[in-house]
Amino acid sequence: MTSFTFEGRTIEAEDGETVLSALLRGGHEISNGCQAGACQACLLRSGDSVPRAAQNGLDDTLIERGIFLSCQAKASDIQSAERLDNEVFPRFAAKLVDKQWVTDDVIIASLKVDGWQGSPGRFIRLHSSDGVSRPYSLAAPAWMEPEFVQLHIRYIPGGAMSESLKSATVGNAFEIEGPFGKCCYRTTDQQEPILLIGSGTGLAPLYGIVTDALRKGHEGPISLHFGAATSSRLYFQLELKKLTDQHPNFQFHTYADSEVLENDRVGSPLDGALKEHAKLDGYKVYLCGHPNLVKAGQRKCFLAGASLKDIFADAFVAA
Amino acid sequence: MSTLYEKLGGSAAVDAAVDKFYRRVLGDDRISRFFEGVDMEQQAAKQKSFLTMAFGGPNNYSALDMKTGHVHLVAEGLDDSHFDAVVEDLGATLAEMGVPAELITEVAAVAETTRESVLGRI
Repeated sequence: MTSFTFEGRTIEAEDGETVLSALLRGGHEISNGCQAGACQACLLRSGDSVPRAAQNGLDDTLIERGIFLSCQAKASDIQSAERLDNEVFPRFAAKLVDKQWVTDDVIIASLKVDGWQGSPGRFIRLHSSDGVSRPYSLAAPAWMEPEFVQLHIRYIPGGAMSESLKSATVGNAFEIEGPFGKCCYRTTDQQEPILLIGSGTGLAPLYGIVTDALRKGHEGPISLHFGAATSSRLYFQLELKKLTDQHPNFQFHTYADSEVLENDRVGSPLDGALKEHAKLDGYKVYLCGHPNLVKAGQRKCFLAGASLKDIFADAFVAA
Repeated sequence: MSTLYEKLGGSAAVDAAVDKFYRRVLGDDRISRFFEGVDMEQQAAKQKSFLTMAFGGPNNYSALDMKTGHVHLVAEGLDDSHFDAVVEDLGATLAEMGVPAELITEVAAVAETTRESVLGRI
C-alpha cells in the first residue's frame, strides 16, 4: 500500500497502481481517455518532482509547471496531486463549416475557430455539445486560412464522437481545447532532410507538417510515405500531387496491404521509406498513425541513424 | 581535483553518448530482446539517467530501484552474461567517443556497483 494527497485528501493506492486508477477507484471524477499516455486527457499537477516518464510527449511549458499524465505515474511516484485550473488550456468556440466523407471511414471536418493560432501537426481535443471529447491531430488549415481548423476523423461505428460527427451538420457548435503535443514542423536547418511516415488518418498531422514546412520555405528534401489497408482507403492524393507540382523538393509515395491499385506500392510505408532512405543521420523524422507502425518506426529509424531528439511520434490510440 | 563526471565532460558528454550507447544496445543480438516493445522515449530517459550515474554524475539511483526496475527482465532470463554485454557496449561507446582507456575503466567500475541489485541478488 502507498498513499498520496489529492486536493487535501489522502488517497490510498495499491502497490504499482497508477495515480489515475487510484483516484477513479476512490470515486474521484478525473477525465481520461486512452490510459496509454497518448491522449493527454488525464493531466494533473503536482508540486513535487514527477518522474520524467510520466511527462512523455508534454510541452516544456507543461513540464515546467509540474503537469503530468496521471495514467502513467505510479501512486508511489508522487506525494501530492491536484486538478488543473481551467485556464491552463483555454477552450475555443468552434463552428462546423464543412464536412466531407473522403473514404468510407474518414470524415474531413473543417471548423471555424475565432482567434485560433494554427500549429499543424499538433493535436487538439474536440468537445461535442453533448459532452463527448476526443483528441484529433491538426491537418493543414482549411483553405490555408489559420482560423479554419481541419481534422481528419476516422469513423468508428458506434463511437460516441464518430456518431456525433456523422449526424452533425454545417453550423453545429463544438469546442476545441489545446493545442497539445510536440509533433510539428521544427526547423533547425532549412536544408535538412525530412522523412514523414504514417498510416490512416495519421496523414492529417503529416500533411499539416509538410504544408507548414513548405509555406515556411523549407529547402531540404521532404519525403512522405503513408499507407492504408487497401487503396480505396487512401485519400488526399490530389492535394499531395498538387504540392509536388508546386514544390520540387517534396515527394510522396502511397502504400496498401491488399486491393492495391496501380499508383500505390504494396506493403508497409515504413519499409518503403527505409528502403529509399537507408541512412537517416541528420534527418528529422515524423511518425503518425497506428501504434504498431509508430513503435516499429521509432526503433528502425533510430537504428538507421536518426537521433532520438529528431524523431517525433504520435501514435493514434482508439479511445 | 576534478571528478570523473567533470573529466568526461558532464551532462554534454551524457547527451552525446545517449544515442550512440542506446543504438549499440538495441543492435546487440545478445541483449536486444530485452528491449522489445519498450517505449523509446521512456527508455531514452532511463538510458540517460543510467549514463549519468555511470559517469559519476548527480543521480538518485537506489539499489532498490535498480532491483525492482529489472525484476521482470530477470524473470525473462536476464543474467551476468547480459550485464557483461551492457558494460561492454558502454565501453565501446566511450572508446568511439575518444574517451581515454583509464576513464573507461573507471566508468565500468561504477556500472559494476549495480550488478547485484540489477540481477536481484540483494
